[in-house]
Amino acid sequence: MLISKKWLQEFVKIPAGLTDQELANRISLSTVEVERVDDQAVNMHHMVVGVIESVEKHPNADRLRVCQVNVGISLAQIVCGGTNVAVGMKVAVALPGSWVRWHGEGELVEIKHTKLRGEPSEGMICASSEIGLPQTEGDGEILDLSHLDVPAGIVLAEALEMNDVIFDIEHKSLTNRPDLMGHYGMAREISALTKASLNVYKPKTIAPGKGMTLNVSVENTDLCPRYMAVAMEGIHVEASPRWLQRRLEACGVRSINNVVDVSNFVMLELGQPMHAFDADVLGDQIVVRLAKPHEKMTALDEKTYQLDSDMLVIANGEKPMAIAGVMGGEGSGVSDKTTRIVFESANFSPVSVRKTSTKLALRSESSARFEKSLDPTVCELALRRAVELLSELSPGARVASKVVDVYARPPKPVTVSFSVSLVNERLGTQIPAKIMEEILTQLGFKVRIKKDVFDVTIPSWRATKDVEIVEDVIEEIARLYGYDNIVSTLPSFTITPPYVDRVRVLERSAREVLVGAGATETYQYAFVRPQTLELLGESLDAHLKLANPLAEDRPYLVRSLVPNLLETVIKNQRLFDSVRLFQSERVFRKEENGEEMGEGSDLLPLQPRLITGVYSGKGNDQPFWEAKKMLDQIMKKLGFAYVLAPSEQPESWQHPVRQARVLVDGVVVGTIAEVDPQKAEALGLDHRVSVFELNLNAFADLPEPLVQYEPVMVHPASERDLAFVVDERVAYGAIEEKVQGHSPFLKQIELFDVYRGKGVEEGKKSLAVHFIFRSADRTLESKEVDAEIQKIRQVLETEFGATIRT
Amino acid sequence: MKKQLEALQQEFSELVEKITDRETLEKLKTDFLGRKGKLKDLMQQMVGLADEERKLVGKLANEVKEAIEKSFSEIENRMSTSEREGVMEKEWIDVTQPVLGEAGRGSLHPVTQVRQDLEDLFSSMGFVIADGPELESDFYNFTALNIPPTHPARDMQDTFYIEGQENVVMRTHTSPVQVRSMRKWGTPLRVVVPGRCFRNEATDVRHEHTFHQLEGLVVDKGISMADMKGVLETVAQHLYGKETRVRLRPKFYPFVEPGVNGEVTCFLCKGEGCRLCKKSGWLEVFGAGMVHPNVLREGGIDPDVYSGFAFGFGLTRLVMLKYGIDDIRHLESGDIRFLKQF
Repeated sequence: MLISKKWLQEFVKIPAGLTDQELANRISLSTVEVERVDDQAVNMHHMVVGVIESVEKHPNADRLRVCQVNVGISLAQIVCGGTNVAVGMKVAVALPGSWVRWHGEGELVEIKHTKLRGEPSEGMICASSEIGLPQTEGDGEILDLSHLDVPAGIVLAEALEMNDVIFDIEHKSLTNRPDLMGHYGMAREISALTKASLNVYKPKTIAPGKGMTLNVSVENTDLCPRYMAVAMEGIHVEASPRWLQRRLEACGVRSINNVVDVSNFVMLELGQPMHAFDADVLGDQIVVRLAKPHEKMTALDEKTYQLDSDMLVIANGEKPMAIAGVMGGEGSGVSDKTTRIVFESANFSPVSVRKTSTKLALRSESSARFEKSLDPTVCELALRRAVELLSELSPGARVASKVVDVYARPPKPVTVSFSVSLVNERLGTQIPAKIMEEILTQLGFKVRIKKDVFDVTIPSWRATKDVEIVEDVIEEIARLYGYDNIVSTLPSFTITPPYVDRVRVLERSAREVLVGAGATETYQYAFVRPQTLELLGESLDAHLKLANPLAEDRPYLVRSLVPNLLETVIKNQRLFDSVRLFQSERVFRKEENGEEMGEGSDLLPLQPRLITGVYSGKGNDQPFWEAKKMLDQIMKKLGFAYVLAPSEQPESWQHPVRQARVLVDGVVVGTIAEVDPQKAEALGLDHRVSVFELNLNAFADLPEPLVQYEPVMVHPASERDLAFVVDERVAYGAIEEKVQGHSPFLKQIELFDVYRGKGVEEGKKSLAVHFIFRSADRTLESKEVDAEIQKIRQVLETEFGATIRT
Repeated sequence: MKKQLEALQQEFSELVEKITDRETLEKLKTDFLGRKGKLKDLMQQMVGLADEERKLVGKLANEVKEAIEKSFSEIENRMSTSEREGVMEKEWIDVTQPVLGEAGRGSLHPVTQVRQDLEDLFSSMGFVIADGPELESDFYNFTALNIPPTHPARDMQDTFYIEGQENVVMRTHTSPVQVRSMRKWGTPLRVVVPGRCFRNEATDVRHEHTFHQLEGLVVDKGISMADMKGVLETVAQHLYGKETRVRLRPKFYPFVEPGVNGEVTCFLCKGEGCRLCKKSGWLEVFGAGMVHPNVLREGGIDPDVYSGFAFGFGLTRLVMLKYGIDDIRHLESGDIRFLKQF
């Protein structure tokens, strides 16, 4: 929102010592954020209006002229190339020390005392583009200011009425301060911040007129707490005077005609949106009601809107003339032919205006203000100001009706009580009661003090849901006292150790392991494309879906981190031969129940935290082992012993036989697999990819793994190796499990080679295994060990059909 | 005897000249100085000599022995030096060559790194590190935080909703964990919540629909705004150095009152004003405030007895500032060329 300094100065005396930037900082630190301070005259320093006294040809240059220009205190000789310079003409003169944009192009250039082709020149007679003004049609090269009724030597910015300073207030920061959405409100705030005196806002009261009747009925006083209107006649619609146009322009509002400009002016001054109807179109009947089903209205933006029955409209006897608080109707507005008008100054429900404007996708200066909840007492001031101003601008204009005011329930003043000590306790300060009183009074609160207790009445302009409770009043004190003046402390607490979230601890360990294993952590969206899921053979129905996805291509919530990780692998495969990535995040499972929702008995969908790693390497056609390496390292670090069990029903995207579930104590904690090569190819993966995915929540539910100390064996171990041939499909895991129970001395089994090829029948594999035997109380004899190995051989032969190789 | 000794020395000198390898050297050493060596032999013959002569010969024998020993140690030194030179020649490797075939060390996502750093700081101050659902109930995300059903924040354009699921949203901030934590742990309470959040806004260089925050909450008897400022200063100084100052400005958030925006002195220009801080000397990095009494009530805490403060850092913003990342979209891009830099 743009705020004009000149406008503010009509209401508040800004202290002379305060620079514009300092004022902006003060507002930013205590009230709302000033984004920018824009000095209109910033490019017009050292520029004045000059009057040309004489024009002579340059002795050494055909195209140049030598002018004597009256610049107020003296005559200046200026060499000029402009063809339209003439004696008596008023021109913009850039004196030495000023900066201009030569011919409106390039960087700014400083004007200096100089000589041009031998003739001294003490400045420059400027074209409009050279001083940053828009070029108007019909302008000669040199800007002609002869129409200005100003003496020579006057500061150019002043002559052009460009000597204002504009403060740009960040829009969002005004959300809870609708009282600042007009210049008077901002002036009132500045007066509180700087202790400068504030003028009372007191437009003339409206003397009721005769000649026109106005019948107003408000059908829904909840949505329209106050409706004021008055009719005026004898209006001559024409352009506004220059000063009014300048005011509006300074605030970024286009001037239209005197009537519309008056309503906009009042809005910018008081924050109260106004509307002017053509009384001859409107008639004498005003009904504030909900729109009827299927009712339509064409608004001032020339678009036709389909209304619905919870939208409030201003109608005449038959049809809507305006969408309440949002926009007027096309036909009922003020036109060149208008001579009689009805001014509306009303208060509408913020929720209703916001809903309507959102639903219609129609926003306006008016709706932006009503949405934030306005003070209904301002309606009257605004109407008085509008009538006063229009009467000044259009001398024939006079009030032609009584002033209508439908005001169902004027709000009662709200009072809040609190003790001085409470304020200081909450702020951690020792602000004296006297200072608190001063601050609140400056802000317009009425303060009554009984001993240590303050009773404060909230001013109407702040009682718009902004200030309601003690905490709100504490904020008023704090921000004017200055947050910088609060001295920091640190809270003291008992030294109870905090609760520790086991999932987080596990996650952190696993992350560290994966980084150590060469994996790069990546973040992915929680949202996934249907195409990706379909190519992986996943059911879309099993996925939660956004009702309003931003990008239509990613509407589904992930159930697994795999699909999006595979997409990322595709992107990176083109850049790197080997890709090793992981992600740890929550996923969303709609069929299972998760955490409580705070009210009611429903539960949220389950959202377990997974950690997922992927690997792919150019030329590696068994990437499974790389995934298993990562898995191994994680499990070792976390301290859990695990087994892999091929699943009867692998996930649709998994390789049918290169896959397994990861089990810890019989509990499934994750899966590991190669991605089905066909699906991988369809998805666009260049090389085979392996994946492991662990559910960290499943670990957190397991008992903490304990490290059990075993005495260090003093007696030496005996080792034996066995090589044997079994069918390709015999699982090593099953062999290990089986053999383990068959010898009390067998302490360790280690697979050290797997061989296929020459010497081994097709469809079989040769395994070479290391067996380590040991007894706690003695050294085993060779014979004993041989007997143990014999038992193992037997098991291998009978249970697994193994042929022992010698 | 004397002659014999001189002859021995002479013999040694001749032999030693020819030595080229350590083996012969060792043998020579044993032959002359060993327990059954030539010198020992001669010394034994000394026993029969008269006292006077024995003294003389003994002295000479010692001199010969020392000369031979000295000669040996010189030659040994020489040999090991040349041997070492041989080793250096043979065993030279290019230490600057990168390790081949190894995966090397991977990297944590920059947001994880900054997050873990802050988690550790807060842990050291006794804060619980809490987590909460990302698909959150409308109640915890809005209602419990004093955001009524009519509040603009609930508009479709800001929040992701779920098809067929009543009353759930993709959480728009980490703040829902405030009320969850109050209900779970009661008072006194110190908790931080790092996590992922979602806003329904179009993605460009500066905006992402997915981003990361770190939320903090402290509730106890007598907790004040001065305490809040102190904790925020501690965090700011941890992040940007001891000299860092914190500035608070009023800012409206429905779930705090008073609510503030927090700025820290720009770490790049130390508050002088530069491009990073847009010449202001200050960087906006957090929102904070005293917990609104309605929020405490929703958490089952009596606002007449307890007070508290809450704060939120944009982790994504902290990371972008820290590393000078100019495009927010890199963070969720999965591009290894970006990720491996951290």
